[in-house]
Amino acid sequence: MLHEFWETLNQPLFWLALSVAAYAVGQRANALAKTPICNPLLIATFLIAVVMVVTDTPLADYNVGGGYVTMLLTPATVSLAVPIYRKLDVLKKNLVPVLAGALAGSVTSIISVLVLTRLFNLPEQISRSLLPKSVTTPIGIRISEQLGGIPSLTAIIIVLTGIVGAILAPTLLRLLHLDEPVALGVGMGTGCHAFGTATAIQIGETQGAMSGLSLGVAGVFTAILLSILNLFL
Amino acid sequence: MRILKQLALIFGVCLAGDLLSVVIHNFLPGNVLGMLLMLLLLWRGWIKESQIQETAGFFEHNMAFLFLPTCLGVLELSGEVLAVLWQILVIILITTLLTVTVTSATVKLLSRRSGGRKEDGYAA
Repeated sequence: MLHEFWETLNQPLFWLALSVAAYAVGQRANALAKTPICNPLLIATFLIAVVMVVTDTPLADYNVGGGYVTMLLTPATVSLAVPIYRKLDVLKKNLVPVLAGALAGSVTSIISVLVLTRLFNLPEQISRSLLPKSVTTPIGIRISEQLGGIPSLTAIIIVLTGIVGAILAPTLLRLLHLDEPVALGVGMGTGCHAFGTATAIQIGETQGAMSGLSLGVAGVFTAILLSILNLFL
Repeated sequence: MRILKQLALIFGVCLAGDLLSVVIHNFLPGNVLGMLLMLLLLWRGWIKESQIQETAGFFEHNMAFLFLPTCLGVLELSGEVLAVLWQILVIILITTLLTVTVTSATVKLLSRRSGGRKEDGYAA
């Protein structure tokens, strides 16, 4: 009987509903704890992973429905054009510093990853998965795919990048006296994407706007830079 | 029907981005091209914000959830990855803080040079 119940439950609708529930738990925990480590996505991933391990469910089963959710990442990325469009005037006012900052950051991220992965002698596929680590996930996993990396590994690396940045970067920038609103915002958006932006919004309105903008700009720069680099790798 | 139309419009731009990506031999991923195309369409007024507002807002606000299946890929991380896990974590720590610092320093430097920018920065 129990077995039959499980056979019936083990279908896309169940996993999707459970995923939403797990994410809701994550959001509640995040609201209560108020620390970037209690990230809703991280908590939901952990909860679903536990259920899958306990029930011995292969990832392929989950992805029958999960695949559709992943598919929606593309329209979600395209939708990012709307907030950027709304902030076009802020971008125009600070055009040169924003573009130069996002470019310098994208180049720094790529070069530092290249140097360190060579230094640690990491396998090629893993190194390539690390390259788009600072951009927002939907852009990053596509770049990873294109470079021959492991998209799911890139996704996890991107989330970890966001957590490290959200916790440590504002304090670091304050210590280095680099925490002027525009400078901090562009730094957070370029270095730690949406996570950085969420933190920047809490610090101030200008910081948040500049961060959200840089997240898109740096994503495009990184995609272009890595596409060029890919011709030589 | 309004939401369906908005979805269709956004999906259409996604597909156009993917086709564009094929045209330029995958030099840029289709989703980045789709985003740029959408920005162009909004800027030129060929698509009005109101024509995609609710749906784009839904995606924007629930974006993090959409990453969940991708993150579950962690369950199938190979032994090869687990073997170099601490190296990966060290690289993430160093490169992230370095990237943020260089970016902010560049912005600060250029804002100073162009003068009077400080006011813009502190205005809000």
